Amino acid sequence: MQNKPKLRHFLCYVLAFVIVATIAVLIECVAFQFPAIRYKQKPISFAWDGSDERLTFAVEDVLAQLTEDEIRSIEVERDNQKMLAEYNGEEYVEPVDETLVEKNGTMYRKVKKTVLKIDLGNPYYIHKMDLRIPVRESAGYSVVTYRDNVITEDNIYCTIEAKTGAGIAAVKEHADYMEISILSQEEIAQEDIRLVISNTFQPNAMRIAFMILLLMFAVVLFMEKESLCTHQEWIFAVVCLMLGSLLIFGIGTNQVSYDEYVHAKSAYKLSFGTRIEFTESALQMAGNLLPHFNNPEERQLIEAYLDKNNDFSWADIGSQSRFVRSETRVYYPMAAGFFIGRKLHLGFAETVALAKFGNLLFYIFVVFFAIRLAGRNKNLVALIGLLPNCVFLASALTYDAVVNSFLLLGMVLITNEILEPKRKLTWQTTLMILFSFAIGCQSKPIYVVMALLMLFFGKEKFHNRMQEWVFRVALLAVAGFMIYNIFFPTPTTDSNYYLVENFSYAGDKRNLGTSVTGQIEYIFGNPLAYTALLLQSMGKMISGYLFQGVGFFQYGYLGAAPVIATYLVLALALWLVLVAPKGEKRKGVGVKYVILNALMVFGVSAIVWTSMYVSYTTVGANEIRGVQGRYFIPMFLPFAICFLNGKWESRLQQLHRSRIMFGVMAALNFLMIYVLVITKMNI
Amino acid sequence: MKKLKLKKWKANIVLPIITLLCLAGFIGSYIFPNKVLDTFVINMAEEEGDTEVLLPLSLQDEIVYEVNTKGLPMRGIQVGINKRGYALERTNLIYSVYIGENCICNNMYEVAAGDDLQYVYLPFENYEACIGDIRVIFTLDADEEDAEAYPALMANHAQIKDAKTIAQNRPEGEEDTQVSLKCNHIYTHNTYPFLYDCRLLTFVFLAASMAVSFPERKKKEDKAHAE
Repeated sequence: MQNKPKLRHFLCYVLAFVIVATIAVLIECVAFQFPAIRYKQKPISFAWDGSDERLTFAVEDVLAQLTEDEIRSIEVERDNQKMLAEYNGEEYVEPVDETLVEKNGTMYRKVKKTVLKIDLGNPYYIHKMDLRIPVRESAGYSVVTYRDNVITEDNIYCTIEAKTGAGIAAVKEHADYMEISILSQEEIAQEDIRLVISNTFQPNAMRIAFMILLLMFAVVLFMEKESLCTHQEWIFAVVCLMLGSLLIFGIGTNQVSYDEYVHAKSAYKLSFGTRIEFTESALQMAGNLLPHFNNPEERQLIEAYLDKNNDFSWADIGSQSRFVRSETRVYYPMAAGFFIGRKLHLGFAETVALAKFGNLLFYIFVVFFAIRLAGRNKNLVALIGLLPNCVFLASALTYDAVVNSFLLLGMVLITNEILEPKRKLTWQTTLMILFSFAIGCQSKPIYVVMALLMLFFGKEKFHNRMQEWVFRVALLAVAGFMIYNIFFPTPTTDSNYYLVENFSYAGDKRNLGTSVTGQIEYIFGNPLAYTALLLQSMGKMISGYLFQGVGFFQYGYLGAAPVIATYLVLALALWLVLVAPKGEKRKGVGVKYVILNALMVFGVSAIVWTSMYVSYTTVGANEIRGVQGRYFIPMFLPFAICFLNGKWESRLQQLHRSRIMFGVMAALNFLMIYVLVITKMNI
Repeated sequence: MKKLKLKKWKANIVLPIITLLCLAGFIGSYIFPNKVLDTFVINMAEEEGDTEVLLPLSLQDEIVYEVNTKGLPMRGIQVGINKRGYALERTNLIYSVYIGENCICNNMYEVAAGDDLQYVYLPFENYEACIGDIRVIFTLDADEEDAEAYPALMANHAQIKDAKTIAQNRPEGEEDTQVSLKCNHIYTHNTYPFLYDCRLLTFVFLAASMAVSFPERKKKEDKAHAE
């Protein structure tokens, strides 16, 4: 008898899915594929072989200005080569690149500009433009479309990827004349050029999946009343899985997360035993060289290219120690995906997706328990778990998912103990808190300072003096050893160990003039100047996020949500901590812990800033480089807890509060996915 | 937390045992380190425009490689041996390490064992003494009948700090140019694979042990502490 409601519930979901899927497919076919249905035009191919008089071809030499990133990348590479030469005792000879020209203090590259003009005769709705040119170095092109001699669009840019020899642009214009300007480093032979313009009926799978999940989320919010009141962790798991799946499916093999190639390399290596096999595609992934797609057609070409080069019969074979470095264990969830993908002989893109899913599922699993154990702060913890930065990082190849999830779990457990000052600390809690920090801080040890908050637990938390002191000593030892390991890491089996461990050469090699020892000497030599710089930098960052329009919620290099989203989420978090649900009595945090939490948040933030100054910034620089908003996510919970209030009661019940929280957070993520992932690389 | 239902008397025993095991691992990591080879890439790639040079070995001529090990005992050297298409079944490469006039070690490598071109690791016996300014002398031991069929060592024209290659027998056109042996230096260092985990877990389990052991054993003290 008890199974009947469950069966009915399940059937409701099946019915809802069928309706939602039908609606999504209909919207896609009618609204988004309308031009293809209306114009019914066949694709047109063009070849510059001289047989078609409607086509013209011209080439000229021009100078293309380098971007700041390109200039910086050249300078960093030169600096690193210079340092390596110095270490090896060799004379550094600066390489000469004859294609580079310096003019009026700006750097340019000599390039060829090929201009193609196409007279279409009759107007044609150009949905996609597929330009194929075999090039050795990636090239770029821009398109201007005309109709009746009037420009209809002049803002279309596309890259011709050297690895596929194709650049496909979404034009979406009605035109009778086109002008294509190609900038390339080499001269293009006109007989090699192939162009196809098309307007075919091609439903977009990513957009359909997006609409289905968006509508299914609404169904979940409507149907899951009980879970929204008491089991928010299940709702979190479902929503996070939906969002993460969309991100993984939408981003594919594009490397758009922070230093994703470094993490991908470590996870890939970890998926092997002592013998590593790097296929060409894996090598490109590890070298941040995977080709980038901007639409489904390019994606198809790139995935075919990656599958072709994912051949283990000519893989680069290497070896590694059978003992895994402690810092790299955070990559196991991703390594499991790479391993399974390889064993199942999946394609390269599918294997990468599986590695990302390993990360996502692990994140969901840990945050699920963090929410479950959060008592009356479940909604707040779920909100943090659904922050766009967290969801994005959980769906990418990076260890941040492990760091964020375990630190959240650890801080939830500490908060529980703070809220119950007279409840004794059990061995289970002790073990879980310390384990959470030990795992969460494995790759980012400085966050272990957060655990030191427990040093201030009152004696009521302990059974006796012996337990109290041993706990404190053990906590200090755990934190101390983790911090000690930053400065004196346990020796590794890597090659050039002495170079890697040499402090004179230590520093982030992505930046110019870094030196750990040099920077530490500078700080101790100028303590006041550094303190002023630190406070100024912290203030600038906060003011940037709050008042100068810098978006805090970011999807890696894809972009950020507008600043209004920051205000909205901050307001939502404050509402959750300041006002209790209707009919619920809850405790606030005592003044002692408010002060301690605030001090801890400030202290850890200062350490994060200082670590970036020491390792990432040029010695003595008047700015601190490389600090990103995501570094402060682990401090969200302790910061929010400072405002926890038991006096104010909301008119809204838990169900409505949960609906608002999940609704806002999911809507923000869905919006970011649509704008940053679907429109940028899936249309 | 409710799921962790290990009975208290069991936790009383299990947690201290795990703590002691971790402590043993912590101490044991220092006592039994894992010694690994450490490869220093010295001169393995040619700069743009440079070409490889074959330094032929013969019964009469030796190739001397002088190097300063920068205070570290050198465990061996990895050099490129090119058999130049010959089988060289009765040919041995003799390599000796000298400090001043003292021969520290004298070893042999069977050239036939490798591929036509292979970078082979030549370990130094008594390597602890191979420290400071050392000279590695490569000579050949082969049948007189195969006088023409000798291997060569791979080199190039790079300049290497603290290292010098002296070859008496040079190929044509290379008599007056500076050549450097293409090689990796091999050192060793200790690693401690379980040290990081054992030292952390010792204190994690110690803290957990104290939360269960003492409350059970010292109820009186517990009461007094609470008061």
